[in-house]
Amino acid sequence: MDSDRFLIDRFKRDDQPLKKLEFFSRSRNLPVRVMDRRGRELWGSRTFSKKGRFCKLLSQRSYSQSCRVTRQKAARESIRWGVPIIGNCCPAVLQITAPLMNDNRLVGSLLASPFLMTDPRELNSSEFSSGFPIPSSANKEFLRALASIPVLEEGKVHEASQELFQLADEFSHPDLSCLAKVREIQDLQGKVAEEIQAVKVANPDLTPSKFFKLSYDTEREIIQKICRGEREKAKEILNKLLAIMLSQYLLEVDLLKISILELVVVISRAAVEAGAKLEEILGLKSKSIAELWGVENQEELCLWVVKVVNDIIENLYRSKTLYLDQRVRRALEFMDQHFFSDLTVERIAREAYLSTSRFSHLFKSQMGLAPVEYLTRVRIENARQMLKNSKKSVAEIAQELGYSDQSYFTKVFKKSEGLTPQSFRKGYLQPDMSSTLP
Amino acid sequence: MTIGNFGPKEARNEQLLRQVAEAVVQRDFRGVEKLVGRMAQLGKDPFSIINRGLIPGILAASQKFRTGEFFIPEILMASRAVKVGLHLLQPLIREKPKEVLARVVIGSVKFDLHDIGKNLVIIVLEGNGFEVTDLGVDVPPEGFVRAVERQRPQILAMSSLLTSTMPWMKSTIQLLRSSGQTEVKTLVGGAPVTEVYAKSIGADGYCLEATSAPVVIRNLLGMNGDQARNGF
Repeated sequence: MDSDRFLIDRFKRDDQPLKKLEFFSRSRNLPVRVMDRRGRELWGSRTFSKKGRFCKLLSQRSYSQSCRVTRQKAARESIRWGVPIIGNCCPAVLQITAPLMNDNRLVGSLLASPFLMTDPRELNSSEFSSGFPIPSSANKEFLRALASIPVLEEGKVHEASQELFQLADEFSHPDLSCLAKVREIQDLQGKVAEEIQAVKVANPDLTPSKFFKLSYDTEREIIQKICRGEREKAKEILNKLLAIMLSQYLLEVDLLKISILELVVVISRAAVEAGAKLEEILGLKSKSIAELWGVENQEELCLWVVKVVNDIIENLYRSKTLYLDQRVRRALEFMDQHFFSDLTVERIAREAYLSTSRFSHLFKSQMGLAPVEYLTRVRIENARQMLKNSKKSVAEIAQELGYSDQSYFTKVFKKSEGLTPQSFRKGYLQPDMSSTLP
Repeated sequence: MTIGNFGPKEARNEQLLRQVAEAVVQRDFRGVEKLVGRMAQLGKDPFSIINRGLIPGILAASQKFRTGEFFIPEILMASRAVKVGLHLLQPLIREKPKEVLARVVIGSVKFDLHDIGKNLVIIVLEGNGFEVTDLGVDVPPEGFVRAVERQRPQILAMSSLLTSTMPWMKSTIQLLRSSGQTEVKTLVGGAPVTEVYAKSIGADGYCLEATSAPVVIRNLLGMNGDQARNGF
């Protein structure tokens, strides 16, 4: 088999990869093995010889078939999601799997197992309810073997999984970069599923005609944001719009394609009206539409439209700033880079080599809003991101954004967004009855 | 959560439930054990401990996963904390309903490996007197049909957490009907599944959330005597 030959070449002809795995295994206190495509062991680290007694015991008890199936499944999962897979290999016992690939094909896997995240003495018998083929006479031996399995903290497990994936990337040919698109697709799918859930909860009595109206309203909303240059918000709304479209046309991919194409047309037209260069948008559109014919399924279609709309948004932003007075552009760049410091209009005007009053006047005439308003917008966009994606407190965020006091930041945020930073975060983090977790 | 309208006893109860949820988020097994054990001893309703303590806990943990604060290991441990709590409550739940209301076969559809939502539905259904057979995840249409033929359930429930796997719900219903299984009622649910979609693929019922499953099933089987809310 080609895949076997690849693995032999990789691990037998050169001792570096195995040395690296040995080092990983020792430093992480994790037994490591190299597996072939069928889930059979090709090599095991020294830690495995010492701490893998549990697995050996199971394989003597004809449990090895089920272990192998689990390993194969995990390897397939790892290329489906493009990430290392952490899961149970048998009740309570865990494994980490990272794929080995040759020319985009799965040829084997790196396996870190067995390990536990709980002290074996704390496991109760019900956790083994699916039953091992261990006769009660061998129970003591089984418990001793269980006690020899290394116990890792959660944080260490996550780190180890990342490191194992990096090693798999290094040992694959050419590497695992082919999985980047998979990750992007799955990430987007997860976001879209969450958006559908949010739409469902907000509109409990959705009918097809209400869907249509919602879709129309959301389209207006995204166009408005694009024209106002609120790039982050526009991107958020796009996910919502995708969620609505998918809910409408999931079973009719052709209709889905058409409505997505329509969306691109509407958005590009709006972008041109808002100041994007017609030729550039047309060029962008024809290039993307050519790509569209190659798009096979709904997942790729979603990724495609996100990219196209992002390109349009970025293009509009660039063209808008391109025709600005050089001094205003300089001020914009300065504000984009220094929004977190305590900026004053005087300071920004100085950067543009203008007097404060001349600068304010020029800025407003070209941008349609005052410098302070623009700065606030940049800060709010960043605040939204931080509230959503970080654990930082509102006070910390306010400080990082250059607001000397939190209550003033809260006031500004509320004025712009209609709700306080706390409510914004809470609304975003509202637990719902679903999860997109593996 | 406002506690203004509650008496001191209810307020104490609410506080305990919040502590259960928090212990799940903190993956504090001993804490879950202690709190759930104490509530069970005080004669608290096991379902309210599940629905208002354990489930909000695992949902909050899931949310932390989405925002990047938790990774898979934390989620595995939080799920384990829930299981520890359920294990303690199981004897109480088992003794409650005296008869099996209906048999349910459940699974996540083909290519879908999410099981947290499905497992929640199972917990809620079993707790409400249904007999549930769990087919697991990544179940192909033939797998569902075989199970229906063998188990003769009144309900076949399917879960999907990805828009890309949702069409397998349709394939399963089609195969089910074309192989002559016309009696069994089909129920669908999951984050991206909407009522409109459920209707369009010919499902008999739809669940917006795990906790509504018993009501929807009772409606589908005409056990409530009132108009079905999500059984069409």
